[in-house]
Amino acid sequence: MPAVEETVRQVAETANQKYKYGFVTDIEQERAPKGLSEDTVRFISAKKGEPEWLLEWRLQAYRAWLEMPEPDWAPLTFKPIDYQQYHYYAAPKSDADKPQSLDEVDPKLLETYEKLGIPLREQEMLAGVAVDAVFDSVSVATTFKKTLHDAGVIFCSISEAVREHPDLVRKYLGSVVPYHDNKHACLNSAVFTDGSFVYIPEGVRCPMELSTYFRINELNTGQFERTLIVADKGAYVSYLEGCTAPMRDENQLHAAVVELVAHDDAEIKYSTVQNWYPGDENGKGGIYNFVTKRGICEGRNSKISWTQVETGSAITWKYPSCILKGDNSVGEFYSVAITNNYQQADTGTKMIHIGRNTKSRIISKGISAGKSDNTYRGLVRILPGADGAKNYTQCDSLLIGDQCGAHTVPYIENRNRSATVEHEATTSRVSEDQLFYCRQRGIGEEEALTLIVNGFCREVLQVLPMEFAVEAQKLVGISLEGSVG
Amino acid sequence: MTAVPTPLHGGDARPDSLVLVDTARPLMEAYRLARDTLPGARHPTLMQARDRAMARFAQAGLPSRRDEAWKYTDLKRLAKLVPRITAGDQPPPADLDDTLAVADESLHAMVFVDGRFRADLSFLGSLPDGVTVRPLCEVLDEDAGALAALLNGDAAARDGLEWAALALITDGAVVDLAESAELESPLRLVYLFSQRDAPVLAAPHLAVRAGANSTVTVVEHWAGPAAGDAVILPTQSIALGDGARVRLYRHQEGGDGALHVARGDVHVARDTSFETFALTTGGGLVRNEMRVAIDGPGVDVHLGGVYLGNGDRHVDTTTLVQHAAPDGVSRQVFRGVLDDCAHGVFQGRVGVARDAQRTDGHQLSNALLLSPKAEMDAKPELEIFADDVKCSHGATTGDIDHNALFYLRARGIDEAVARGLLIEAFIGEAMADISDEGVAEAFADAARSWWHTHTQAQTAAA
Amino acid sequence: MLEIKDLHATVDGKEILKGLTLSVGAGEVHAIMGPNGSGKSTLSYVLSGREGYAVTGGSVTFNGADLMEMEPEERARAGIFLAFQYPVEIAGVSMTNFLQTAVNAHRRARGEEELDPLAFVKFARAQARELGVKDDLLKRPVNMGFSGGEKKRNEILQMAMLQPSLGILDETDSGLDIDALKVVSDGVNRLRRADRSFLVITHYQRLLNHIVPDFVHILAHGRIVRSGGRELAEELEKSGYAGLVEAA
Repeated sequence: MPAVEETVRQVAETANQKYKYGFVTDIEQERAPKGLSEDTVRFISAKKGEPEWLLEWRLQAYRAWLEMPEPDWAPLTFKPIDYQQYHYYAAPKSDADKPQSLDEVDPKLLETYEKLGIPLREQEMLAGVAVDAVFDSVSVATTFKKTLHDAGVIFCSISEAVREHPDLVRKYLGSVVPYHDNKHACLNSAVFTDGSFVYIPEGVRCPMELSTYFRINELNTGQFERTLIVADKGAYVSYLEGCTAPMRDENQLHAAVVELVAHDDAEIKYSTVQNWYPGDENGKGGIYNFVTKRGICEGRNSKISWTQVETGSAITWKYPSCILKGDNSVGEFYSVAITNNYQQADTGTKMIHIGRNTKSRIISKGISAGKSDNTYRGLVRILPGADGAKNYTQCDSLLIGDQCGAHTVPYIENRNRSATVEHEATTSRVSEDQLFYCRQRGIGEEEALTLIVNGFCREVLQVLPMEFAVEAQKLVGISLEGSVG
Repeated sequence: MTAVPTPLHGGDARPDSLVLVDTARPLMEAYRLARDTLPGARHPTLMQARDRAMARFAQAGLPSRRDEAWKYTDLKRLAKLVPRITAGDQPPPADLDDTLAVADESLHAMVFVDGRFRADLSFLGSLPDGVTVRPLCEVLDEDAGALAALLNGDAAARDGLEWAALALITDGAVVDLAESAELESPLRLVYLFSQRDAPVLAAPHLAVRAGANSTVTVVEHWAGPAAGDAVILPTQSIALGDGARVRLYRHQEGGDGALHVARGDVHVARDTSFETFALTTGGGLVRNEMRVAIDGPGVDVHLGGVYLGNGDRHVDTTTLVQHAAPDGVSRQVFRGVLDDCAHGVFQGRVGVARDAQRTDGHQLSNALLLSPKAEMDAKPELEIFADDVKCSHGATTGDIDHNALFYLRARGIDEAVARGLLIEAFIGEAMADISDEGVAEAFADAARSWWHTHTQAQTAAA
Repeated sequence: MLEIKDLHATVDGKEILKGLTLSVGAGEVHAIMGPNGSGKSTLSYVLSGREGYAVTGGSVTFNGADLMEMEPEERARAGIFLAFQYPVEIAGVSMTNFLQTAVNAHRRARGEEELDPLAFVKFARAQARELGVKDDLLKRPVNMGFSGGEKKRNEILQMAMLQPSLGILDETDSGLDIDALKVVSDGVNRLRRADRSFLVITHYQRLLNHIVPDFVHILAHGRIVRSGGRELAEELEKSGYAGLVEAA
């Protein structure tokens, strides 16, 4: 049964009980009232029928959120967020509210889908068009579910995991990103309504790449997504997050949390292509994307690899990080961040070397165009016990036009002499020579720019899973539209 | 920031009437006691400006590690000291002649004791036309406004400690070069310290105003104190007119009791060449902060340094090179060797403004950690707003190259000697940028001698 | 095919071409020779539409169309190919990707089906083999780490694949040893056809021993000062530019 239905059923069940917290709002209504308070948190938890411990955890997070200042290290400019203007819980949209066909969807959005070569059926899905129950992908998803189940892999919504695998969730939730980690993580912990849970048992190599894309029932993941992935000893999983097509989403604020745990000899590969609405050419609208992503290499010889292609959002604030605790563990961060028009991105990683012979590799490619600002901010910390640790960092920035900014802010802290830390950064622009060379071969200016920028990003794009890589390359071109000529 | 919001009552607020931040008390007290002995004390407007600067410090207190610019350098040690400004009238140490090598006609040397100018120890020889070198106290006697621009600057532009350093200016050197004037042999500035019960507080200032197409080389030698504590807060304001060429070298030595926080502000105009290099072989807590504003096109700026740390010494190099004009070249190469529990810090920022097209900015920080307890923190930053630029930075930390070490030992060279050779080679690459041959040689000798003394001490301890 | 009439062009406000007139018919090979600074490279950039080269007078028509009105890529698709004196390096972009993009841009312009990756690789390999270029060159990033000879051979390979009607060779012989020169010239000669013309721009006569021109023009001070058959190149070999340029 698709989770949408499950949620509806469950909400209905909850509604039949007498609401024990004396919350004044009528539990039957579809949305929590606007604004954030302890009651909002209780409401969400009650709607989802959560156990007491989780409610308590949420409330602790909420109280920490009240106390905590906004993070201020990134030089981002935006209006202060009015947290009281949002609804923190809304039941999934009924089909009646959704566009009834693609004719009702913004033609610009459809144009982009077209360029990305997304099949019509999937376009409908992405645009949130109300679709038949016999939608092809549902059966596809069901097939996947069976294969995964046979392998012993748990892959479900985090809400379902709370119900079906409470011990696992309780053990790992907040173990990598504690509820009080930062203001945005507090908020997420207090009010998260959905997200994914993955558990790969010992010795299992997940038989396919997992993707929220295929979990169509979870498509409307909402503002506060929470993802938890645990790879037990010797397990392997590759997880693809998000979607290459722009999401139709009215929410302005996204505060997601992703936690990864890799035990001995386990490997987690986490790939993201983020293309949320970036706002228009004049910097109006667009998503604030405040994301806390962190993985811990808990066990020996474990590996966590983050790959991200960030082209969307008005503001991107994220630092997918690795805590390299197990000896010989490996952390990787491959990033492409493209900003155009008035977009602002402050993104990078933290590599915390604790165990012996831990290795990290950071490859960051920042492209700024239009009037945008693009910052790489990263930390490499080698603790005293990290004998033989090695880090290599390469940050390259490319500027297109003279109205944008590219910044590199690395923090490098070495407390171990046997560690080797190498950092290199360059800033340059697309050369006139290169553009002319391409154009002389008959390649149009925008296509030439896309070709050159894709070349600049190659080291990152080549580590993306195949099906993502192709769309990511097209995205590079789409993101840079209007930046030349 | 631990600032206590205190209303300032115009320019005449006396610092002792303010509510102080705790960390500000000792320096405030030192200022209060010595205020009327400071250069220019007979000019009320100057003293009001000093008071105002001190009041700014009183409000802000010492920077803390919560301040981004002080993330890696902790001034707690400074907060604990109760230093005093002296009259600087103690007899000079016996080895002054060694410090100054030979006194001959071509030698231009100004000597300061505890940050106060000592005419009796200085000899300026005969200076060429268009070159004047004077102690700040003498300049201030004539012109009370000489420090006005500095003391009346924008409050937010400097942190509390820098305001204190400016308010406290104990004396200094003022170097003026008329258009096309040239001082051939280097001007030497020698800073000595007396031994006292209370820690000495010295805040000498260096002002260099190099007219168009003039040339000058200044060599600072900070000699001490060998024992006892001292709080040394030098400030510099250097301005290069079109086509000027200025070289500024600094060697810091002395015991672990010295806290040395130096701030330099450099403005370079069109087609200038500015070179600076700092060799740090002593001092318990050292910060060399150099800010270069590139205001004119076609400049060539080189910043360099070598810092050698042992014991629990802390050496911080902070640079800010701001390209505001096109076609500028800036090069920065810093290398550090850290042994025992020494802590190295490199914070460097290269900024390129929108109009500074065709900037070529390069920055490199390399550190060797020789001991398990040594630490290195680096934060090399690029902040770019122009598209037609070539900017890069690199930072490495790590141990000595074991393959190279083995190779040398396999050729029969002692391990200690082999290490010395490799370290000399390592720092040599930064030293190679020193264009003054005499200084390059002297600094190489000083570095070798540091290594020798350091390894001797280690052997003796073992 | 190509009609240049009284062409004036400036670079950074300085007039480099000062009334150049030249007519190239289908299938003809014209050599443009001239001393350094005579405007040879400027001519090739003006014809291919490089930014910064301003045409201040005269006209250029190519197969009847006004060339100066066209964007660089439009000129390329119309059949003008420039073999660069200094081919440009593009990091991260493989030759295959680059060429496929270029070939398909041409095909689109002609209203033909684009080649899919498989068909393209087959086509590229066949062309490479014909010119004696190793397959692995197609996998490497554009011109990155290529030797001087490889770069020039790569230019000829691109010309073979894009099938232009006018090939402009801008000092293709510079930096080549005699063996590489021969390989490159053989490549060009193989591409000579009744409907394909060439402008061979060179300082030295030696290239013309390998690519035999129908006409030779001497360019000096921004205009053509003498024209003749291939014997003009031989005369130049003997007397040098000084004599010829002054005589004119």
